[in-house]
Amino acid sequence: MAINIYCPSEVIDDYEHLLCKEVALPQSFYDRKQTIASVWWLGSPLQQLSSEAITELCFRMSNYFPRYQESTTRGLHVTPMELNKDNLALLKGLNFNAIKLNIDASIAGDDRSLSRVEAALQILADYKSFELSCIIKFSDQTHKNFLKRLFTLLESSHCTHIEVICPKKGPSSLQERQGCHDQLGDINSHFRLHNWQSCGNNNFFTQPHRAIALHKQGNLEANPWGYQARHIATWLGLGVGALTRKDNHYQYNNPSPQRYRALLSNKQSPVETQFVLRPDKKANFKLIQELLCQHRISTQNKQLHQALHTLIPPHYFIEENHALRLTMAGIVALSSISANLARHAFV
Amino acid sequence: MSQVCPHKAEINCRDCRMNALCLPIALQLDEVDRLNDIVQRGRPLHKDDYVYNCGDEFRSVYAVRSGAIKTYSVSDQGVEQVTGFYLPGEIFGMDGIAHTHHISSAIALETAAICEIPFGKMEELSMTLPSLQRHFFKLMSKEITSDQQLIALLGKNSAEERVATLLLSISARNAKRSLSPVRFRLPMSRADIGNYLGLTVETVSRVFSRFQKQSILSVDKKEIEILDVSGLQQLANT
Repeated sequence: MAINIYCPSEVIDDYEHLLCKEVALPQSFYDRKQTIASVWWLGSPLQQLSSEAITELCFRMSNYFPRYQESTTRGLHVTPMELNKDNLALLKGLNFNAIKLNIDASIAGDDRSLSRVEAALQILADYKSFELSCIIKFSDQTHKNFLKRLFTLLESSHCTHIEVICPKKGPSSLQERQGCHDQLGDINSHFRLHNWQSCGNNNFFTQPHRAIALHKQGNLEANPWGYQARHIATWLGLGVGALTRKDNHYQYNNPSPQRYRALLSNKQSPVETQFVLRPDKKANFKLIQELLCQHRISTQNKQLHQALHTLIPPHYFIEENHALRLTMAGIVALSSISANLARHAFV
Repeated sequence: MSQVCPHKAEINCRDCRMNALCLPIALQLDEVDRLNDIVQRGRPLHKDDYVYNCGDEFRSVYAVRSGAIKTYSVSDQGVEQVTGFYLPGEIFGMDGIAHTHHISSAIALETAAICEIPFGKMEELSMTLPSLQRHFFKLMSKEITSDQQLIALLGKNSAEERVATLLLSISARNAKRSLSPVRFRLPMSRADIGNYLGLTVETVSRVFSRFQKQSILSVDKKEIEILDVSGLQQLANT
């Protein structure tokens, strides 16, 4: 089982105790005695929770979920601004072993300073035992040279995973979309040139990240939380707007902090919506998984082979040994290819 | 200040000379008494007595009332790694807070008295004293932070910097509890210091000799006098 603790940036009074109330609710969806593969504190945990609240929550979580192991990933999202020697030392003492640095480069000119990121990496250099990864938000307003400088800086650190995202806020113009697409192409070329393993079109890994081994073994899965080990069936989400998944069953917690608090005060479940992956979409899901994780689809089946030829433009793939392998253009266009595959009715 | 022997088990939180360091400052006197009721004080520990062992269930945190405690872990290869030294007024045992069990062992370096603060009982007490638990988690997060910062600092420096940093840390901790910051007795052996700092015993001894030659320290076995505080700070790069 994997646990994700959602921490909104808007401060919610006594949030740690609301999370504890949620865990303490009687439920049958998951078994607390399962082995814990990972615990990630997502969003803005260092804005949402004080040092003592994090300490208390670590204590409570270890009581609620007794099957932590030495190999359990305990990670936390943080921005370069939030990271300092004090909170990193505390996280180390609380047995955290992974940090995900959120860098907002969505508006970044050529000469934008990297001093905040440099300072954060310098602090992290004293704690090399942390597995370090980064999420970089970019847009068509991000200068190419800034991205290049940022990547060079991260490549010289012990960062082993970089994810880039081009967040969409409302409708975007064709020009903006093309701008993001071009940036994504350049980013993919950059990491290919530097021999980083890519998954999907926006996740890049280098040794010793565990995703590389999972990729080689064919045990990687793309899920809402990134590229993860396929064998984890239960993804428990805690907190405002949290997403939980068990096999093909998904459920979302209420996204309103006030409603979330009110439900828990009445000892009611904060789950607002739930849905199951439709059985007729399982084939689509499998194909998209293959493309995202391996950049290729096995096409032993003739019907499938034909269908893929009609769904994927020819310059996006090359044929090899009963498989279609994505070209660089195909990798960059993975989002639209996946959308096409999701809509099609495969037999 | 109370003159009660700190080894005595009958000592009360109200009278303890360490209470300014380890008690919630916001507590009223009657609340201190209620906290005192849950604190367990056994007989004094002798040198090499264990407080807890690696793998023991995490049930309590501990405050040193007198003497000194060493914590250490043992690697898969059986190699011991000293993880901390705890002096009077300091809290230890937090290594188990994010686990259900302790991931290190704690042992007395000399005759020591400790207060055991059981978490379960403290939680019960916190139902009526909500500020208590919050304060304890605050205290613990501070202790965890300073422990880890010291470890990180020690890990990246030269042998001289490491020894100087440790001595300055002990000096500052003594000052905090109104003891002499320049003249003190090291409760740990040179081997433990070396293990903690990632240095050989010989290197530790050589550094002490060098500091003596430079008139920075006066060393008589475990008795230390810091003769030149600013010189030591310079060596520690602080």
